Amino acid sequence: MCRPIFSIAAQFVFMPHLQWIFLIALISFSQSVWASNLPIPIFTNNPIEQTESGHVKLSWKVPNSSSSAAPWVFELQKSNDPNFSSAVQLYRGPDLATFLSGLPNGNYFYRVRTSIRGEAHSDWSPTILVKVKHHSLSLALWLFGIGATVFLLTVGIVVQGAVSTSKNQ
Amino acid sequence: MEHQSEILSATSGFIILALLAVLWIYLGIYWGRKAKSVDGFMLAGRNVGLAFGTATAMATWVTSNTTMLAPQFALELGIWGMIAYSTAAFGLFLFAPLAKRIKQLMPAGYTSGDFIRLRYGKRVWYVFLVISIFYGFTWLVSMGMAGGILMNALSGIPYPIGMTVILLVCIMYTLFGGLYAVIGTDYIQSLVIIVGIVLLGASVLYSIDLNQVYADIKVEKPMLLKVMLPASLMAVFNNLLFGVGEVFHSNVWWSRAFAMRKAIGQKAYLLAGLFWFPVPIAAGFIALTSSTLGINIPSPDMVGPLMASHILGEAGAVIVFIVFFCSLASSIDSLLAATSDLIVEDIYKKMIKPAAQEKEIRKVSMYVIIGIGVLAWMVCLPRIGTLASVLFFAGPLVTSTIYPIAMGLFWRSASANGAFWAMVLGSATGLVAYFTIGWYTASLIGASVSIVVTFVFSQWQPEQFDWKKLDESKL
Repeated sequence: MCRPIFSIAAQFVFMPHLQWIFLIALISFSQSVWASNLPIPIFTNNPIEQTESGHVKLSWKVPNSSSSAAPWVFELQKSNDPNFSSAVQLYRGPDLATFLSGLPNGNYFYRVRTSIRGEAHSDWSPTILVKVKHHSLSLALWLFGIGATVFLLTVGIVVQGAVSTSKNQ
Repeated sequence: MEHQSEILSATSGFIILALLAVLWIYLGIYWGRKAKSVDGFMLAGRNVGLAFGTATAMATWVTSNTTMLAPQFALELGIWGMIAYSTAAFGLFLFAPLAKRIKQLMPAGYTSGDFIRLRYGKRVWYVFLVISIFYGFTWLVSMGMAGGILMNALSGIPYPIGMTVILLVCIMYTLFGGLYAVIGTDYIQSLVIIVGIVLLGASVLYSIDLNQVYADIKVEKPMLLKVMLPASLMAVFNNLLFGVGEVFHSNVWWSRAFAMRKAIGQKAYLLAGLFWFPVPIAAGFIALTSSTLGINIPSPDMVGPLMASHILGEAGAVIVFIVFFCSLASSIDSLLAATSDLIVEDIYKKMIKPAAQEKEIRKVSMYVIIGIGVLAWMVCLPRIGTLASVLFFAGPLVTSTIYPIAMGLFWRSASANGAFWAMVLGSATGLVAYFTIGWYTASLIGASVSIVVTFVFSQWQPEQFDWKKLDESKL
């Protein structure tokens, strides 16, 4: 029984290509184990975020992990549909948040996952929905008009006051 | 900690921080040697000239508001956001004639509270003190937070440590030198800020293709380019009026008006406004390049330092660190000094112990500076919101004071009832707008209500105020 085992061991030691095959198999195995163990991040935002100014901050965390350890890279995706059929990668890096602005009216879906070296990665987080509905333009123009009027009156008060007091001196 | 990709190492950050701390404390002690009397400590001997006067006004206005909030405005509100921020220069422009008038009417005055008490009586004075001290404290908290955020963004120094150090340094040199130290350090800080901003602006223009920036924003943040972005339209005059309210009521600006020589105040404030006007546009523009450079912005109030340090690289990050530190320190020190003056002069001397002697007042001033600093530190520690949300909460309160002050300085008919109700109703309606519409409308609503109320009372119950009552030295 011992002879065949020694024979296989001797072949392994003296045949370099077998060593490479073994090494690659070992790495693949460890990666698949690692991937399955990668934690799934979760958003700290509400499942549905609403904004009237077109900007929102998305934050996420890794459950049961201190952020200072942070060995992971995060991938954040955006899509206009909940199935992410037309997903766009927004961010890839170690940060735990991103700030989005300048969004037009509409619904936007986001998901995040952890990855290592772009090869192994966790499953996607639960999706969150950001609903953008800007303030009405008529309200904005009204306030703009009121602001302009108040400003001009303020300039008038100061200039008229300064001129009249300097005349009196 | 959401941001995990710093440019500088924490060790480098701590070394720069230590060097700046030693330098400012030394300069504070050096300039503070003149502060022997109460007038010296509180008002720099009432003898500040044009160069120092302009520099201190400009440096104080280039604060976390400008270096960190202007980029935040651009990132949130786009092109309008940058313009909206630069309109705060009108606060300085419009205060210029007021500074002249203040010096004429109150040559021996100490604080903005003195004016309100003598002009409108105690009831309005109490409301004004609450507003002014609350605002001063909010501003201080926003800057303490900005210090912590800045150091964290650039070098990974933990937020509580960065915030604590910048507050501590400013408390120490303000304690030693009062307004002499504040104005002296402001002068150096204003030079550093101007050189730094010019360097940064030139680097950005040199290293970035503007057509590409435009194309990227159009794809990724299209609303930032829209002229008719509703939130931005609302923000333009909101920010302008907030700036006017901040300058008109705050003792930071009144104390400088009292401290400057006669006929200097008006020129100094006009020049400071002119120097300040382009700074928010230069600081704000870099925020719009974040998409092109592929830089993640974890929090909108970090965009300024993050972008600047990425554009300039590691060596540049050191310059950015110094410029931002100076811009924060120049405002924190002013605020500590001016708020302490307001509390000591208006509360301690006028309400608690009118017979207090100079030595005692100086001692109380120092305790108050320490007290305000410690309280601000406690509020800064939990990092309760973004800089904008913290600062703009005080917006409607300060804009409600614009017209009681402006009309009160020029119109004999402005009445105490008008001033009282303008402040109360302006603040209340502005706060309702803050919570129901957004922070970018609160100051505008507060100012609008205030101007109507002050004007209506000046016509309905006009007073015939005797200007001589404002000069307490002759009463």
